[in-house]
Amino acid sequence: MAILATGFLMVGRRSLTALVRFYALQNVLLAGLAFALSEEGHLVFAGVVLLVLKGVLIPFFLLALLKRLAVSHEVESYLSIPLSLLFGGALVAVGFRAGKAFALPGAALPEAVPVAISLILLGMLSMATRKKAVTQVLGFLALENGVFLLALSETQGLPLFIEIGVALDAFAAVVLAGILIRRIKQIFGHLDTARMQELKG
Amino acid sequence: MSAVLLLLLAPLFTGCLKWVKARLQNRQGPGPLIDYFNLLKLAQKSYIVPETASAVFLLGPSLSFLGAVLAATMLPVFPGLSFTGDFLLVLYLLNLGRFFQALAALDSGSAFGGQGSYRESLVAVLTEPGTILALSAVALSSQELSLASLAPLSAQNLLVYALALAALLLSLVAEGARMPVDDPATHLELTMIHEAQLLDHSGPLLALYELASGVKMLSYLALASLLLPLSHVLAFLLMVVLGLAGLAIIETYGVRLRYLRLPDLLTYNTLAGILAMLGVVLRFRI
Repeated sequence: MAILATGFLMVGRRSLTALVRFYALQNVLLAGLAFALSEEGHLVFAGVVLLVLKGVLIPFFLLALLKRLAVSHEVESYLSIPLSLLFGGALVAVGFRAGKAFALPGAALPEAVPVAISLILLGMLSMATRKKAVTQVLGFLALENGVFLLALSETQGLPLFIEIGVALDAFAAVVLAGILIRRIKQIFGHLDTARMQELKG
Repeated sequence: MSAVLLLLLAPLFTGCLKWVKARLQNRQGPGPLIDYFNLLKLAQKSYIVPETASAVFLLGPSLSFLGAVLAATMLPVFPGLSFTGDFLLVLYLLNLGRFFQALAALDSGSAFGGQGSYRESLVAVLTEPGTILALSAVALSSQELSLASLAPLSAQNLLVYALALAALLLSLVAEGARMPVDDPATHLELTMIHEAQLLDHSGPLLALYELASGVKMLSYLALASLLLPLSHVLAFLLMVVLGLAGLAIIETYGVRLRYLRLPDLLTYNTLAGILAMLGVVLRFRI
């Protein structure tokens, strides 16, 4: 539930640094859940990887990126904050309604499946409605967290290699996105994807 | 019983809040009993009525006080008055007081009164749906429509109760005119919301207003305390202490939101209410 709350706070805040902090908090909570669920060894390992990589490294990388780009405030959005929060509420309702059908018979934590679906939908919402490239990356990361939570709750633990692969994948994606964002900033002088639709000839 | 308790406790609560806040800010500050003396002093003074004002000017403080006290009688901190649907009556009695308060402020004919009135009306509009939805959701989930017989917290209704608690605490902050929404300690009329309505009332009228707002805050705390899995009195006392600490910390370390950003904050209230309602209707569970 607290994980879902961080998802909502991510939709609701404008300040980018606050967004990154909420993302880190979400990861720490997820890692805690992984520890709590672990009976065998490798979920502990996955939890540690999650904590170090996504709870510490990615937020620090993003914060450093924000500092270098000197953007920190006023994320622009296609929807106003209240409207996107209400949309988020509707999406969470959909997620809960659909999520119950998603729970497999042998799921480790069937209660968390709707939360995971909702988190995926909320991540998609912030990817779709925000204008700044950095926030879209954060939306992607929240979505990825939803996928991780889904995997955590549906199965008795994925094989270790897949967990590591997914975690590294996310990290690589963030690094790539970071480089892309820097290039966008260099070439266009801003990070507003809405203004990138005109063709340049 | 509960009304008497809340009435007696209200000055202590606001006084304690001032005292804790002063201590957190490394000030000496007045003692916790300051508001009893304050009310006594105000009650002995005479009051001034503006030349343009009508009878509504006097009606405002008395009705906002009466509304708060009547609402407090229906709170089941101690067993008292209780009937089906009383939670709606409690909330709307509290809002009735606010309505007359806004009217009285408009009636005073001063610009600041009108400004405060329209601002507070906006806050009221933003808070009402969330509060009503949250309490209705709790009532529906316990299948009893009176406050005294709400079902205790259990794994079945954890999600609904947590969402309702969040909504009620947010409305406590908004309705009590506390920090992220309104700054009770401001002396600048342009930034006031709640205080701007009281500017023209003096003496006993002001005392009634102060007492009413104290009772109102305690009422919201009492409503929130009904959701805790403890006996009513114990939960109420716990909630009061938590509320004191929480408000003092927010008002020491936090800042006030800009007036135009208030909808951003208060949408969380509405959202929590809607989700709680959906949680009941569609039987969500965590």
